[in-house]
Amino acid sequence: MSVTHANASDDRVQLQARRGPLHERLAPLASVWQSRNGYQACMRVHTDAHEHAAASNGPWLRCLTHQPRIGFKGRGSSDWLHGVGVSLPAAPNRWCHDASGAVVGRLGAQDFIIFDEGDGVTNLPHSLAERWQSAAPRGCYIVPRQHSLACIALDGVRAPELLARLCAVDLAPAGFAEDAIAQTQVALMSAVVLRLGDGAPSYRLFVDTSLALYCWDVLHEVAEDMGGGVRGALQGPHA
Amino acid sequence: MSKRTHMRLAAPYGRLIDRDKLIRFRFDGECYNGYAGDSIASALAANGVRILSRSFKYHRPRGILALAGNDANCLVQVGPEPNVRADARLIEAGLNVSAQNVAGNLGFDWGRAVEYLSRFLPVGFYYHAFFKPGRAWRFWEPVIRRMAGLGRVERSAEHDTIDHIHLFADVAVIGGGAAGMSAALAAAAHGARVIVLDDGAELGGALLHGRHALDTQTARSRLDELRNQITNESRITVLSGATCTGWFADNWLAAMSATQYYKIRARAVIAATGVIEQPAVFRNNDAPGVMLASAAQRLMHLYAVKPGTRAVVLTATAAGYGAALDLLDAGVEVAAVVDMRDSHDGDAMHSALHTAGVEILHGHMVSEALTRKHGHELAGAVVRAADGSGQPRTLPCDLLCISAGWMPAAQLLSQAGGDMTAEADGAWFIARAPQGNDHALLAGALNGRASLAAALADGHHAGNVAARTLGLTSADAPAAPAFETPDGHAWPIVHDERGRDFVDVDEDLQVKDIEDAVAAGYTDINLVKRYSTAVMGPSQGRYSAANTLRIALSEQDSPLTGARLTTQRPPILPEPIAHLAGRDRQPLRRTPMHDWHLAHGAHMMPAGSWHRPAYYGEAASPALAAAREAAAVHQRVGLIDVSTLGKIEVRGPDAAQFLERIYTFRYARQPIGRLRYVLMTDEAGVIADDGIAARFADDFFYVTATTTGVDAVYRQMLRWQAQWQMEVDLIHVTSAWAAINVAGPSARALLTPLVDDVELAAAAFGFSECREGHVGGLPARLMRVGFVGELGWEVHVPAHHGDALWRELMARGQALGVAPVGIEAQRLLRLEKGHIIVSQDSDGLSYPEEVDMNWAVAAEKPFFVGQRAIEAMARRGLTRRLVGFRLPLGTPVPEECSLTLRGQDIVGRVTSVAFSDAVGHIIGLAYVAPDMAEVGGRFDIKLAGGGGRVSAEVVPVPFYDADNARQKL
Repeated sequence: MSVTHANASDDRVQLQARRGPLHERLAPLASVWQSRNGYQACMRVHTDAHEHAAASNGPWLRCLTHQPRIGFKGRGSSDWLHGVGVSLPAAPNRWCHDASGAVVGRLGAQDFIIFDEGDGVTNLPHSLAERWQSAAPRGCYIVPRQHSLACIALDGVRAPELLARLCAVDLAPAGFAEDAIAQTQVALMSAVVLRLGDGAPSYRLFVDTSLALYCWDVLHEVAEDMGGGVRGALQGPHA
Repeated sequence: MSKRTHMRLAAPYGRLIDRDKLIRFRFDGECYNGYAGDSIASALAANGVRILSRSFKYHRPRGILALAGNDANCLVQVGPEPNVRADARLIEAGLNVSAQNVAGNLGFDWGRAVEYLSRFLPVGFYYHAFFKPGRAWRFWEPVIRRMAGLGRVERSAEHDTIDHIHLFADVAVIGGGAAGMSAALAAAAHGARVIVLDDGAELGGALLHGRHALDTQTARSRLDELRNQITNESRITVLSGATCTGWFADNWLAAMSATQYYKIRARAVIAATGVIEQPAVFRNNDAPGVMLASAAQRLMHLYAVKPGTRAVVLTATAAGYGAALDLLDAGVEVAAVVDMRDSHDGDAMHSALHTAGVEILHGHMVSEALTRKHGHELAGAVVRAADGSGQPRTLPCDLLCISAGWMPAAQLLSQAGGDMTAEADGAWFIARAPQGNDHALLAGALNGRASLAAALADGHHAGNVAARTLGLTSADAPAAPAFETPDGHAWPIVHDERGRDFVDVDEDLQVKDIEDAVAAGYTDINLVKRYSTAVMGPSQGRYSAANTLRIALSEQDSPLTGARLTTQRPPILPEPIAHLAGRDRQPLRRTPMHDWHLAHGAHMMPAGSWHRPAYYGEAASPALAAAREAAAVHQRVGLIDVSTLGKIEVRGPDAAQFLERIYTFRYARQPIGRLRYVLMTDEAGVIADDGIAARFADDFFYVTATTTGVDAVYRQMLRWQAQWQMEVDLIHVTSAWAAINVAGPSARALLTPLVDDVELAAAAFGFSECREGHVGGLPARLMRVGFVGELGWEVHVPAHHGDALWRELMARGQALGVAPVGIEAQRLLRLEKGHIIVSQDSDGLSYPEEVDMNWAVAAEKPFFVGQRAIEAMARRGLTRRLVGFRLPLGTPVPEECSLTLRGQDIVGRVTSVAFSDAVGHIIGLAYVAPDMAEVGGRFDIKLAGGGGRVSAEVVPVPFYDADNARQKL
């Protein structure tokens, strides 16, 4: 049965909008505030904040919650993902790039997180969700990581130093392999941490969306103490 | 301003101070000048201030003892901060320092009257006194605490921001002296990442202030070389001004500096913490002006402070001779060197002193320090032969330097499982590395290699051994240098029957106190410590453990050789609370609608790890707000943010069988599209959690759990699944879904226009049913629940859409009189229906029958967690029962947890209680004895605060809408 409503179409547009957990924090900082993947995303911050961060070479925070991501879990997950051509890391707590450019992280033997870098151009998470819906593979289930997690990037040569203030695991490049994933505690909360990029460290922290604002505030406070600050999603180390 | 004496020496004395930067600060209300790099203690000493504090018990005047940042004599108050170590804290412009533990002022302390009562206050006196009559301690405790206070806590002080920094190293070297630097360089040469922890302002340890034979210049040159090499070695990180306070399992180290707290994980640790110069015991050995020889050397070499004008040096070590030479060099007259040893092998320093005309007395002791001005100034030292022969002599002096021997600085080592024993009848001590930890090494003076050459070679050896044990090199380490027997005297003690012969200056303990502890039957050294409090003060026995051991064992005629000292525990220095606390962090979770709640006047409260709205808007009390919001649910429609509910997806062919085992109820035949209550018990049959299972497919249940319990539920599920190995996968999706309870008679009217593909009419979507569909175009899970007793749906949508849907529902609901509803009203509404809240109406002993929930237990199932225990308890019979009760209007509302009574006997407690407008009574749930649970029975509730009793009537639950007609509309 279908129930219709006179103003349904307009309402739908508004209701489809996603609101990330850092919306209130980012809105005042954003100079470029764009729609991405259903979210209003802070692509660039006001110049003064950016210059402050750049000049200090300090750790920079970016919110990448708007970027597409998805999870798969279940005893049939690796078989199904492999079957649809997704490159998989050989072991848990490792990540690799898929041919599409997406990042595939293996959190457990049959537990995966897949996310797009590059502003969702390829959107592997979306296409995998569609294929999963039609295939309904046995023993492979979607984990709704788009909504359960927030994604915070932490960039700059001082980023490892910031993490050393918040995490008991050695995440500095010398002690944290390039393809490693740490599932650990950062600032007293659970987080999935990995390090991307060549050159200056650029970490990704995936944290529970309900704790994202707390996490952001802690990171921001420490980053500012170290001379860093907030940047927009497009103002990464290779921007 | 009092008359000032200026005690500064000319350069090159004063390695740590910058004479170009004058700093003005205050001490006890007076202004003083110092230089950048001065500690509070050194700056005061430079101004001729000799008294820094008053002692703990007798309020005796105390001055510099060790100047090493670890004894109670140097504790002062700095602004709001108590117990600051004056010999470790640098002065800053405007610093306001005051003495602590002073009754009156530092110059005149009436608390010193206690000293004259000392014979009535033997050690452990408070164990025997003040406890009778019964309330005496309440009177005496504040008096004693005031008398023995250690500073003033300023509650309004701002919280310091202290970061906890995690560091990682192949090798951590504790101690930045000659051995430590040498070890670090050797390990780094093999590629090790090295961290050097040093509590000094500069690397160098004793090289910075000690005199190494006569060749001080060579020692200083070697120091400069080592420091240059360290600076140029990129693999070495130096943490200066950082004290290692704990050495824990797996070589995990804690360290603190003024502004940071370090947590260091090292693969190997080299302890190069050196040795601690030891004091002697004689009458008035605590007088200002009596200090360790190394303290006088620190004053001169580090801070350019002349420590006195005429000195006596009491020694049993070569270092005492070196100190005497240093004093001469600095222009201090040396009245005599009093060597406790009968003879001393002639060495160059001995000869130099002899040549300088300094009298050297072998086989002598100082038996008393003489003072003047009420003990404020040292006047002289009484010297006599150690064997008691001859007449005592009085040597006038204003400085008495002591070097009675050495004790390894083995506090950290002891924490890590190392050992230290007395040797040669207690003349010296030997430290040993922890057994079974190949990655814990000793080096330098701590390891019995104290001379500069031996310390350097031993450090080099340790660095190489560490690298080899870590697999960084396969080369054999160079041979370790030979052990060097330390200097020292086995009995540096002159017991004086008049007392004031202090063994432990931190705690004001005299020889008699230790003797009394042994006489009281405390023979083990660790019991002596506890009874007497010896070695329990701020210096943690650095200057008292050896003499306490000597006296305690001597009293028992026990041998000292091989005896162990008291157990050392972390931290080795007091760690300020701000350091332990770190940054102020409280990870509280927020729902997607959090910002809306704040913007609309929500009063937030913590619920488990979440922020939740307690109620909205202004109200005279939370109860009135709850009543207002509950009325909206009963009469119109309310929205409750229930995003915090735990949510777990149970997927796979065995999903139903898995739930059959995990929960008490039946799920195998639960139809798709239906809800079923879930009740979890633990293996002891105790209620652990509850919620709802929504079956969306044969192999898919969406299970809710309590806000606070879901993490434990998920862990239990994982644990059992690991054991059972069923074909099930578990996905914790609590944060992925926002959830709104749309409840009230107008709920259907509010939701229907938004729902595309699900019919909400009662005939199509009955009570206790669930559907997947779309709400406002958003994928949604809808569950028709009855927790709050009115028609309603829980609507679950992807979390990042939750805010939009909430706003939409609020906007659309205006015409229907929609209201946001907080936890307070939700708790009232569920109470009206008699629904329990797990952990509020149940506790750590509640099993289902007690709370009248046997209806949710399928006893005939072959197995569920807790089944056998529930069966056993059923055979045992009930001991209490949860019942509904009501009180007449006008009765005071009891507080939750009020006792329930039968006569004078306690039979239970109230778990929930509130006034319900809808019911027209005060209603509640309470535990009572089983024979009191009949409807119509009565029991008493004791009101808090002496308010008497009220009589409650047992009534059936639910209190409201007994036939559940309203939730089935």
